[in-house]
Amino acid sequence: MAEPSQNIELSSLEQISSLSESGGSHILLLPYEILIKTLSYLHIGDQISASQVCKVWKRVLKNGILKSNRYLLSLDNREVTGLGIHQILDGIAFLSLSLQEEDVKNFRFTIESDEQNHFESQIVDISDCPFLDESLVSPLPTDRYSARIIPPRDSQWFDQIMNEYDSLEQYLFAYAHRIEPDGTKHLIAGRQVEFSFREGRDTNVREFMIGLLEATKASQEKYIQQGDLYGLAIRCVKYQTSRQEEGDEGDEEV
Amino acid sequence: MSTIKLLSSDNAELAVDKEVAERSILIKNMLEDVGGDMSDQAIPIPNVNEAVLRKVIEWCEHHKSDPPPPADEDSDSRKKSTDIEEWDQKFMQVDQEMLFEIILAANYLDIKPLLDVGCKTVANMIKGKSPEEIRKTFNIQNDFTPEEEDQIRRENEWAEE
Repeated sequence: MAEPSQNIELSSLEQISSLSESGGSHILLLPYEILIKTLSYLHIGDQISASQVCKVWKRVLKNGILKSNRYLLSLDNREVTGLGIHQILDGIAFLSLSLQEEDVKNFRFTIESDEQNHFESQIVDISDCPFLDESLVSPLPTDRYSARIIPPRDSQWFDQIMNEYDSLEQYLFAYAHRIEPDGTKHLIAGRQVEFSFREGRDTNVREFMIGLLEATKASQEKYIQQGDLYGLAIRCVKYQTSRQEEGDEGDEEV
Repeated sequence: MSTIKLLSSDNAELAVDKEVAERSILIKNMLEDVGGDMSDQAIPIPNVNEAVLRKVIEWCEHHKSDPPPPADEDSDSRKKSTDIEEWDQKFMQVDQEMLFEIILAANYLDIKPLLDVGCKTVANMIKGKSPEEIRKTFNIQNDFTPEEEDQIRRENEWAEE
C-alpha cells in the first residue's frame, strides 16, 4: 500500500516516541503509517479539520498523502486512483452529467492524460462513486475558484461561441464568489449562468452539479435541450493568491 | 485443540488456543517457522503488556472463525466505510491509552482486521469535530504560532460553515 512518495514525505517527519514528548497525548504516539490509515477513513471535510489540529497532522494531510487510495475506479486495465475533489479543484478533472429527457442519467468523470504530447481523454461513469457525496470544499490554500461550462461538442451554439471568441476558455469562465455572511455563494458561469450554492460541508458534489444544471437549464435552454449525451461539464480551476497567466484572462470576465 | 503460551512484556504467561493465537500473522508465521510443538515454551511478545494482550486475545477469540480478510487491498479501499460491527464497537469502549495500545499491538502482531477496527474507531472520534474539539478529545497541544493560525484561517476560510 505504501507508495514511494509517502516514504519520502514521512521520513522528513520526526516520530514522537514518548508520552513526555507528546505532551501526554496517546494519539501522537501512533506511527505515521497508522495515523495516515486512520485519517484516510475521513471524508474531506473532516480531513481539513484534522489538518488544523497540529503541525504534524497538517504536514501529513497537506502533503497530499491522503489523496490516493480514497477511490479506485477500474478503467480498462489500468486503475485510476485519487479521484476526488482534490483533483477537480486542482483543475485537472472534468465532471459531467449526461442527460436523458432533461433528467440526469449519470455522472461522469473525464480523465485526461497527456503523454508525450499525445492527448487522450476517457470518460468514466461515476454515478455510484462515493466521491459525489463528498463536501464541496478544498483542502488546498486557494484564493478563488472558478468553474466553466462546456457545451455539447456538436451544437450550433458552441460553434457560434467559438467564432465570437478566440478561446472557449475565455468566454466560459465562471466564478465562485463569496457573498452573504450566511455562507450563500453566487456562481456566475460564462456570464450567462447564475446560481447560488452553499459551499462547504453542507453541499456535496452531486448537489452542486445538479444546481449548476438547473441554473444552466434556466438560462441556456438552447443547449440543454439538445440534452442527449454530453450535457454539461464543469471544470474548476484553481487560482493561487499570486495569480499568473491563467488567472489574468479570468479577471476581465468579472 | 492445541494450546500455546504467550509471554507478555511484563512477564505474564497466557495460555491461548493455537487457532485463536493464529489470528496474529506474526505468531502464525513464527509457529510455522519453528515447525512444531510450542506447548512447553512461551512465545515472548515483548511489545505488549498483559492487560493489552488479554484484550487482544479476547478479540481474537470472538473472531476466531471469521473468514480471512481479502488479500486484495483495493476491494476495501473502494468503499472506505467507518462502519464497525456492534460487538467490536463495545469491545473498543475503553480508555484512550488502552485503545491506542490495542492499535499498536494489532499492528505489531499483524492482526489487520483488529487494526482496521481500531483505526475506524479513532476516525469516528474525529468525525464532525472542529480542530479545537479534536485537540481536546486527544489531548493534543496546539503548536501553531499565532501567525500560522492566522494563515490557516485564511486558507480555510471558504470551507468553514
